[in-house]
Amino acid sequence: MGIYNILDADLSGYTVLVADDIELNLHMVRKMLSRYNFNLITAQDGREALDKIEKYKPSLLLLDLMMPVMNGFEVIGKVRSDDEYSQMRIVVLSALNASESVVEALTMGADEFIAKPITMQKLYDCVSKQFELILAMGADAKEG
Amino acid sequence: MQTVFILIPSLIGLFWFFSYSVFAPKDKLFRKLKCYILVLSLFFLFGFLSADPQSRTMLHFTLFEQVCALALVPCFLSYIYEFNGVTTRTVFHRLCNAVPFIHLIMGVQSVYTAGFDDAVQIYLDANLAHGPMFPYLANQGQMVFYASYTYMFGTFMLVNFLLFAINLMMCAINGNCSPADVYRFYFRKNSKISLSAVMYFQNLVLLLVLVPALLLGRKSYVDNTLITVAACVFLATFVFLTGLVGSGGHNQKVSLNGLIKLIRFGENKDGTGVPSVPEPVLAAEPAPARVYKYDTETDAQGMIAEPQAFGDRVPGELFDESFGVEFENFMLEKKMFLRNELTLGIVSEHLGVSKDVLCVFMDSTYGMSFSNYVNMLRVEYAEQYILDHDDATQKEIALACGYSSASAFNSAFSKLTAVTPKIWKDRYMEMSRRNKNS
Repeated sequence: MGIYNILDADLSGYTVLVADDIELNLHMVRKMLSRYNFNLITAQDGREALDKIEKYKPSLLLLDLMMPVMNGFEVIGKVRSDDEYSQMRIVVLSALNASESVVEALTMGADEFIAKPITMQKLYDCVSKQFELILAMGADAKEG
Repeated sequence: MQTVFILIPSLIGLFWFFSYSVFAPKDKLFRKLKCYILVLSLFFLFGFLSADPQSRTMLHFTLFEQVCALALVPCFLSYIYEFNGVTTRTVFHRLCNAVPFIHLIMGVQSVYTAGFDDAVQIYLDANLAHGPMFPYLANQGQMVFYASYTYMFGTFMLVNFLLFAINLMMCAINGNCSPADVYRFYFRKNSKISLSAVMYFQNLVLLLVLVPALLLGRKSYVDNTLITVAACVFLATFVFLTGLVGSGGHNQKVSLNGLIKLIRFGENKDGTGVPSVPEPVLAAEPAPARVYKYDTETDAQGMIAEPQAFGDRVPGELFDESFGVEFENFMLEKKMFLRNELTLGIVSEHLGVSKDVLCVFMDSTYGMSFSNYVNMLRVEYAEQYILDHDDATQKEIALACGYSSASAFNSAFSKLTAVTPKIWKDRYMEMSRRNKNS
């Protein structure tokens, strides 16, 4: 899959939320994703992430697992228990790459797991793939 | 911990100062001590208000220190007024007396904030791959020696010159660093150096203040006024020339124009010197080009107007996809970030670019300095390592993750995650337990 597939698409109506407690990580992901023209918002703990999900209804959530106040697993649980966000794509970005964390996150409803350290290739591939799905789902919904 | 070691002594000190001013014996030594305690309390109090274990708040830490330094002025004026009467001569004299003490406190504060090992390491390693606060630390570390020697030998300028020389020698012995690096070290480090520039100029101002102070103050502070003035001039010239002459192993001479560019480049847009994360906003950022490019504002500064100044590769051709992949492969697939001796110089040499180009790449691609990037990778690696190695000691974890000591590791970990490795692990255990129960 080409990493520039969605670069030409108009994503200005879409929002992506990145949740990570480490400010440097947020800064880096934000910088790396600045090539896309979707709206990008950030949160530094699980509670803040949920508040922003409710407020901005993002299409894609990039989520760290180890966060204060409310961890990533809890956020996934809350989001997936709410029908309103059933279409939201969730990608877990975590340094905890032990298989149990991966399995647990995916079992709880995450769509993809990216093991840190984040590379440009991994991030762009993932975001492109997720947005292709989001755009396809949007087109299906319109046709439906 | 901060509360115990900083806030409480500060408040006690302040209380003591104000209560003691009522009950103090009319003894000059006690009054002098009282004045110093006030200074100490103020510094620690401001340090507490601003010092966060995370390096991103170092700017505030520094700014508060400056505010604190301003607060010293009325303090010392009142001190002088109370005991000696206000004269230019005594003002300068007292200022002279106070400056080393101030720096001693600042040095202690720096060691507290960054850890003793890190503070020492900067002298032993002269390694440019450390965190953004290191130029600041080095400066403060230097001041600690400065202060102690001043009290021991009662002379300012010659000692300062000596310390500059020691600093340069340390770097030369280590072999990682040339005089040109030291020069850059003071003016800019990676791409976030304006803080150091501030420190440098602070020192310069200090010199300018101290020269008349020495001339007007007690002669016993210097062996000979002429020697002192000559040492000042020589020092300033020496530092400046080291920057011009040294080639630093980068195949790149530092010209006057180059220096101006380096300094201009070192200044952040907000002038802070510390990378900041912008507040989350819902506004869309403009769609960027498909290749990795310099920020347009960086371009506008004219930093890359002369490609020949940046090594073998032409900057305009640099940041395509392949450069990023090459960089990440080197850092990640080979796990270079786990090597303690890794420096910006090693990576830039491997990639065939100058340090400056690599700094621009880091800033424009990851939005952070090389050292921050390496620390981030190490801490991420450490998180999994801690969980996988239950019995590992702090020292073992530190060495496995690329740090030379447990305290350096703890300090870096705490700066990023805001908790110690132990607390982090406890949190993880708690998280796992809650997940299993739910």
